[in-house]
Amino acid sequence: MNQNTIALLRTPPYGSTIAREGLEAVLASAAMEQEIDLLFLGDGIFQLLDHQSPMEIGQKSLRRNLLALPVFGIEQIFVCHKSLRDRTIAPDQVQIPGVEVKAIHQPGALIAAYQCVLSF
Amino acid sequence: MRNLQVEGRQIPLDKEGYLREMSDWNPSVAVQLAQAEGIVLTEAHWEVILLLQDFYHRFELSPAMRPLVQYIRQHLGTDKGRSIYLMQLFPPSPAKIASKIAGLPKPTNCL
Repeated sequence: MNQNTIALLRTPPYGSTIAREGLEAVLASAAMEQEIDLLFLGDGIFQLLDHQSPMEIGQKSLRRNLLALPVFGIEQIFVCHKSLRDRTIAPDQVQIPGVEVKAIHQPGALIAAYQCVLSF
Repeated sequence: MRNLQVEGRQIPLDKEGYLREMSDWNPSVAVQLAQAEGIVLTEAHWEVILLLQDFYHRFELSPAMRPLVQYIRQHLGTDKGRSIYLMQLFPPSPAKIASKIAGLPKPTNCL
């Protein structure tokens, strides 16, 4: 049976290395041809925003890394609708070229459908 | 720390032979890095090296094999966007060897 996996990306892009570690786990899985879905929720939404300036703190841009998702074969991601709304972020602020961004209303129901859940 | 001597300059390398400083890269450095891998750079190699640098500047990461193949396919077509083609150019591990010659960091998710 095909084990289906979802990665929950819940932390802001900087301040700790959790967001980057999550992304690396996702990219490593994709590079190994493992299918993996992504759900951005809570402060993880901030990873998707443009105009990050991490050079100032000697970091690389997480947003720029996320733009590579289609090259890794990830062409659809989920975002939590309520997390967007709570942060007054509009759906058009979290777009990635070549990726379909689906805003979902019931993250719990989505997550329950997966056998393996990775949380970052 | 090892050094690579190029045109009278000492260029520091890490223990795996990657450039310590990306800004040290230039085409003569690439030729020497390739030589250390037993590769003589041709037009076909340069095409991949330049695309790899383009990838890095866009996404701020060095691609592992699968995304590299995908990116080459998008830009150079399906004849070249195949692992066997890259394997012939940059044996034995195209993502690692081509990143090294292109002056980029080792691919982060290259297991």
